[in-house]
Amino acid sequence: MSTEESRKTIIRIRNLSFKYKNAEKNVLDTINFDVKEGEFVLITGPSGSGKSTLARILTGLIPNSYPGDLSGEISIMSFDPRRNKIYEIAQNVGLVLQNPENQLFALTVEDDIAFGPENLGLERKEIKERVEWSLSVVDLQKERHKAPFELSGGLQQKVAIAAVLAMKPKILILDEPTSYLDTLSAIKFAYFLNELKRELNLTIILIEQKIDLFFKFLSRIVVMNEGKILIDDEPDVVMNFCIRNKIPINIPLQLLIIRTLGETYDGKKLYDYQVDDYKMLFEKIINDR
Amino acid sequence: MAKISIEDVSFSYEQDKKNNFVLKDVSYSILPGDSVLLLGPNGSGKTTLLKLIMGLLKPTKGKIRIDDADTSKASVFEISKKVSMIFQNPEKQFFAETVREELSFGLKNRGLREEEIKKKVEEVAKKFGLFEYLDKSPFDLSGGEKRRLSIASIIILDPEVLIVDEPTAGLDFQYRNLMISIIRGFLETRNKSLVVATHDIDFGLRIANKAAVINEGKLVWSGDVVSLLREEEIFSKGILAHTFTSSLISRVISQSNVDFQKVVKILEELTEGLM
Amino acid sequence: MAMNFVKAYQFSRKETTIHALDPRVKLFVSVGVAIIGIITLDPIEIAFLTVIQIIILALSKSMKLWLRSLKALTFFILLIAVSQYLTTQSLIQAIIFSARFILITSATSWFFYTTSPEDLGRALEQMGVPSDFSLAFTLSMRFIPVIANEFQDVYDAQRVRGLNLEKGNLLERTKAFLPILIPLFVEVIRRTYEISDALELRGYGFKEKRSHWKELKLTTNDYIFLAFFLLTIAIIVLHRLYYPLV
Ligand SMILES: Nc1ncnc2c1ncn2[C@@H]1O[C@H](COP(=O)(O)OP(=O)(O)O)[C@@H](O)[C@H]1O
Ligand SMILES: Nc1ncnc2c1ncn2[C@@H]1O[C@H](COP(=O)(O)OP(=O)(O)O)[C@@H](O)[C@H]1O
Ligand SMILES: [Mg+2]
Ligand SMILES: [Mg+2]
Repeated sequence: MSTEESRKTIIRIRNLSFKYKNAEKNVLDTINFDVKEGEFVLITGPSGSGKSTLARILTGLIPNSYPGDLSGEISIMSFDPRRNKIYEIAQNVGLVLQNPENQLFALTVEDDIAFGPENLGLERKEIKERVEWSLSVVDLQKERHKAPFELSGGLQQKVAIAAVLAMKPKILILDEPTSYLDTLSAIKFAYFLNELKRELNLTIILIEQKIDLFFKFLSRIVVMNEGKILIDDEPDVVMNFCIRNKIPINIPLQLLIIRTLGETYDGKKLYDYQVDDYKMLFEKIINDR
Repeated sequence: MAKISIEDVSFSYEQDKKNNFVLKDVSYSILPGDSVLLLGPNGSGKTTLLKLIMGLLKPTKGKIRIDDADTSKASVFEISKKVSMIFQNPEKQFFAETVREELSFGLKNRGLREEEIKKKVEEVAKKFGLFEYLDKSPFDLSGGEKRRLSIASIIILDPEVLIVDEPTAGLDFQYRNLMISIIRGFLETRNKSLVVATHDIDFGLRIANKAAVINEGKLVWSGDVVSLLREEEIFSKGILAHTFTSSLISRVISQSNVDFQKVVKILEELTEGLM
Repeated sequence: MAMNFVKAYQFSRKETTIHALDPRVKLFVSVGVAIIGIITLDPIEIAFLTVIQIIILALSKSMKLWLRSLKALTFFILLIAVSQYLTTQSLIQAIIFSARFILITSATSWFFYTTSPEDLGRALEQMGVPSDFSLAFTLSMRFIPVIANEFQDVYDAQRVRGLNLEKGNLLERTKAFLPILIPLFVEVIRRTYEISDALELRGYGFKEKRSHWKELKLTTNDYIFLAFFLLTIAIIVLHRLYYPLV
């Protein structure tokens, strides 16, 4: 395992600004953002802050499908969306959108997974291999002949991921994937995503509001607001910053409890505490009042 | 104020094949002043039950009564005089050229007089912070304003019972708090009642005093919120999942005997105090 | 109401011989029958072909679906009969015309009941139809039920706000549809953007010619089915030779 320092930087963005055509002001404003190979980065921030727009740039949808003024230095595994087409980038960076319903086209799971490789004009044998591989990675072999939209929300989300993985990307971006899942499915999804990352050596960029579900897996958190990056650092540093500056995002309650008691806390140990430990801490807060 | 009783209701979407029941023998009563949290995994039948109460669907078996009137025999228009419903992603229903017109729609359909409509619209617009936008297009509002407008256009109908479907799905921190303050505002009037279907239990605990749990179309548990949190089985059987917050609350109230409302209040202060 | 029409032509997944036939063969036969239905005015031919369609419907376990769609189309069938009767003053003519309509709808309905939109898209594509066209087709079939649900949702939401479509004169009723149609339109556009993003992210448009991971191949059953169809045609031609003028 290479250390954080020696890992390769695979996304490098400098002074990126973007304005949608016909819009009045920039939705992204002089953004600097790096991602190293193998990182698990969570991007959060109020809605409208530009998170999805950033994902569109990282996959080439901007400016290829959404015109506008795009400036700054961009290198996504040495691609630049202003020079490269979406399908070129798509074989390196995959994007899973929020609503699975709109990204599943075929009537069976396996055909849906094959759709991307078919578009790439791959050999039949290669497509078959990719379909089998994707199905096994997300553990959907049993559902392969079912219609994707008859599956539960959690499984649909997995099909959408399998379909993107069949393009063999090295970076996987997910845009608010848990917003329509129930609590249990969302918790399972967090573990699934972390396993997937480890198994495939993926780099993951996750746009998400439910920070606490993913907190312990993250290398970094990026907080955006009104088109700017407010802070981009290790999870505990970011959370402390957000608490201090009253940034309106979902701070895990565990952190709030510890902060209230004024204890310095060690981010890595946060999840070593059990619920009962927090119960004791919380009761201390109640008694202090 | 209205009382709703759901009596042995079963429902199937397939009218000719009456075995594929999405709801099975559900019985439950909603009394004035109740704020009911309807919990259950995705696909368990929550939305279907809400639509049945609203009269948008009619029970395949059993009966739903709103103050003794059978919903099977009443039109949605009749029912909407007492009960109203906020759908998931309510911003999707905008159609009017101005915010004023959007707010007036329901009242016009009820045949109110012009002056009366004007008065009510302005009153509600003020309450929801929309007064200065009355002549703007609903489509030009910001996300939070859109959400406020969509809810204001239902609240203006002054329902006795308000039904809300998944109010927090896909919402960020601020909009979620906005939903809480709006719903609390509605509940301030005595004896109004509320039914909220959600899988966001943390949100639900902040507004409800009762809970009903459905799983695969069956009502598997009902009671007050505090006893739900004392119920181990529902959570261990995989029907509902605890979040960190709900498991903490559950432990604090059942093991340490602290008042539920007080716990919720302190948790909110924790979030807001630091915010 | 909108749902009725969607259902009349909706694919339903079942395991029958007819479902398993090659979509190209089914397309050929179903269009063939429909064309004869359009050309012919001979009651015996119509009756003969209709019986065959009913056999196919029965084989594909779709009788119930078909009867339900006929019920939904009763109004049109009556309309055709009445207008024929009014123009020609002939009862027989009126019956023949509506029977023809039933024949054509049954030939096309079993096709749609038993062929998944995707198989149809695949058939079109492998018959040389450009992939943009066949994808557009597959997608519209895939999203029609979604849009129909969306329609129902918006309709419900506006009914809760007191919308009544049955009140007033024609102009007022038409206007009453706006609160449904405008949100529906906005939603469809929004969805279209998202779908087209998703398509591009999966490399759509990369190659002029996509590859196909499952190639369609004719099986014995396909040949048998085709043979029966040709036999049917032969019988009709013979019938024509003996009774040339109708
Ligand atoms: N296609 C578009 N055309 C014009 N403006 C857009 C478009 N998509 C998003 N925007 C605007 O850009 C801003 C940022 O949106 P978005 O990137 O979706 O934020 P987030 O994902 O953080 O909620 C919002 O103000 C939004 O209205
Ligand atoms: N319009 C419909 N037609 C047929 N089945 C439906 C329809 N709407 C919902 N269902 C089915 O009914 C069940 C319950 O759905 P729903 O009430 O939406 O659950 P929930 O709101 O708890 O997620 C699900 O299995 C769903 O697939
Ligand atoms: Mg977004
Ligand atoms: Mg629902």
